[in-house]
Amino acid sequence: MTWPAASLVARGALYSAVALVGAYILFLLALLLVVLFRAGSLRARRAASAGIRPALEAALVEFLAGGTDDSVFRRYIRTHPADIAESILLFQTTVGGSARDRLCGLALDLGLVHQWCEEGRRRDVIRRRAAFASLAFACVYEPCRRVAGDLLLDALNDGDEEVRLSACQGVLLAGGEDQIEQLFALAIQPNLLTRIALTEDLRRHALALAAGPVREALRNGDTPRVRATLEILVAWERAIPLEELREFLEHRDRDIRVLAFRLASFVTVNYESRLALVRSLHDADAGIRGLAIIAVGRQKMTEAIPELALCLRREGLEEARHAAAALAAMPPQGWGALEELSGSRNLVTALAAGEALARARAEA
Amino acid sequence: MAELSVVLSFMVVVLVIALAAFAAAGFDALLKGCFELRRSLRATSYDFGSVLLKSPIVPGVSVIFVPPDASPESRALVRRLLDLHFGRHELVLVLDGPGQVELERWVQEFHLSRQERVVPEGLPTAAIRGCYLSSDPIRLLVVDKQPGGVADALNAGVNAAQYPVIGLVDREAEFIPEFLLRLIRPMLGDWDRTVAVCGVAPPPPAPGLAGRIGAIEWLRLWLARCAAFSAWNKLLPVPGACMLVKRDAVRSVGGFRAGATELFLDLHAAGSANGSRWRIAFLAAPVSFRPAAATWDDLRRQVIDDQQQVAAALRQLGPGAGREFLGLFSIRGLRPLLETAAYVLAAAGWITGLVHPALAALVLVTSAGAGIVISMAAVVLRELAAPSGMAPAALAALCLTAIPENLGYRQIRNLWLIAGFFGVPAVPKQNRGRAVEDRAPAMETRKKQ
Repeated sequence: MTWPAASLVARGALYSAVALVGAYILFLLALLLVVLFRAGSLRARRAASAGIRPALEAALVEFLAGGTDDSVFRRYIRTHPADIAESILLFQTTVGGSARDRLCGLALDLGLVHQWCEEGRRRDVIRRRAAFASLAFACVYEPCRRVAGDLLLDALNDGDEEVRLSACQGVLLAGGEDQIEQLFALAIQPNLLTRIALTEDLRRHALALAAGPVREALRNGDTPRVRATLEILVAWERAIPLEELREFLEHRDRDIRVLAFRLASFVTVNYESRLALVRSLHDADAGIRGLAIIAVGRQKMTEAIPELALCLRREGLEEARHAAAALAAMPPQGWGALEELSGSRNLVTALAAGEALARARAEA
Repeated sequence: MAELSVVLSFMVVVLVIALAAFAAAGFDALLKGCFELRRSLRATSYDFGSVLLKSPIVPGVSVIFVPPDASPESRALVRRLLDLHFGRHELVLVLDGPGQVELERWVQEFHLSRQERVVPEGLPTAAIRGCYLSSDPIRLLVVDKQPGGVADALNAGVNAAQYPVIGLVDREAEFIPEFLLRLIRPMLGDWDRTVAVCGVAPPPPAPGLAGRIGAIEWLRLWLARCAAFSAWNKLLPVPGACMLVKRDAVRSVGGFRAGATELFLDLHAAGSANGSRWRIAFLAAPVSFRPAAATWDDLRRQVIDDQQQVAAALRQLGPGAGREFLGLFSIRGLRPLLETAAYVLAAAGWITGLVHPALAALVLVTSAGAGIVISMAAVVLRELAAPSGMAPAALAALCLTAIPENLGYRQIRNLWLIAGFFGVPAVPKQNRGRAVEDRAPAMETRKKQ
């Protein structure tokens, strides 16, 4: 390539690059204008919200205290429906009973429930989530439930997880007994967040669930489902009658065993399960032995005192402390064993036994 | 002379093409980051904080912290870590070979008393000298160990941790007390696949030109190295980030060999090697940030620190993982070098008349010009993806800062980046990945003893 030709190419390349960079900068400047306009309107909206929110919240407090004046809400419902809705939802966790009904009634009177129903049918997932979160709260109130119809039930199959969760919570709060089984089935699906969110709401139906769906899920044999069911049972911390805990105390899956031992601390256990608990005090897994010691102590199984004393003699300090605590929970035989062991030559045994005995006597 | 001119011109042309490719890759990463940010912000609307706080099903988190000393700053940071809001969590404070005075200071500050405790020996570390618990109602476990370096101390923390998830906090991070609740959520959504979560957001810009340039740097970092890398499942922690990592995953890669960046590189490498579908999630929420640079000194220190961290991590990569992070290596290691070389050659060639002025000008357009585009794009794309709530005037000023940033600061920054990348000290090699009987510390430490 000759020098003039190279010069021409270089110049051409430079002009093209400058044009390209210039075009990008112009395009970005145009976008910047859009962004600036949006930022301005967003700030203006926030400022307007900040201006009226204290008045709305004060009016809501008065309304919930028994007042009948809803003129403030009617004044702003056309211009600031979102602020009113947010103010109402702010109180959802702080009020209950008739006050909650009044709050839901206000939302219905102001047309917010109808608006939430419409938004719940939209394709925009953000709006749908907000709508169902609001409906889940409002549907505690029967007239709101009638307006929503089957919307919450339909949303149980929504593609978005948060919409599904809101719908589940709405159905549970509305006391939909017929759907409890369906919701429990959702809770034992692999998604941990769904399980966590639903477990607390399902707690009040624990006994009803334990009689049917829980038993079915435990018998099903599908390890992840069994694990999920046991997790829920452990989280409920309720003395639910479980027929066959032994199977899970000796399960091949360690996670299931761990959950079963934690469950054994507060559920009623039958003879077979008690035997399994005592056997587990000799388990090869130190973690399982530790859990078994705790469970035996909580169940106050005096027949296991010799095994607990053995654990106190041969385990490491932490397990020995658990064994000593378990013995301390079973006076007078347990205390007798502790007195004997506190004089042991084994320093760990003597320390753990002495500590537990002193604590138990101080508490007694 | 003509031959020299041809050679010089050819070299400049090659460098210009390389710079254009880097600029295109940078812009592509920003776009990718913008879409990913938008997607991830739309993916969740609620944090379920109150539900997660109360639920016993949520896995517990052991936050591990290795303080460099017992200074008031370190103790204040530990206090802040003790104030975290979470259902089941503990702080494992690992003291890496503290002196008697230093240990006493920790004991007095947190009313520690020695407790006999067996620390599992999952990862090889230097010997544990003792464990301490506080008599105050705080969930603190202090592990006093023989000196072995930060990685060794982190591994001791993993061994001592009682919960299945490990929490890590960058030393410079400013974090909110609820960050554990926010970070655990992506993990719960996909527990089997998600092995780690990293959360960070840009800090509010500091006033002044240095502050605005620092803010633009942060936006580029957040969009490209956080959001875009997350979309490509190559996320690495950035300065100021808070992280959660599954303890089993840490153990499966043999523990820490240096800091969090190296751990994440190992997790990526292990995920690719065993064909698993491990995922490291990114939480683009204001849970944690590094304080904004307010002065030129802050800016220089932050740039060099970050560059050294990246360089140290990239240098130790094997061939497989190295290929995966070739882009990062090129942008952080090669680009500043090539760009500086291009400036020097173009300037020298233009002055001596060996390079056509148009070609020399082309270097400026493909570096500084493209840089202005990228910086402006970072500001605009961030606002499109996740509005910051800044005032319009401040936003416009930030966007226009792209011009002085690329006409002066950029060229100096290149020198800082080169110094940071090639001036990084060698990281002591750790005896990791296998159980050792004598519980020896890091190899370098053993040599010193």
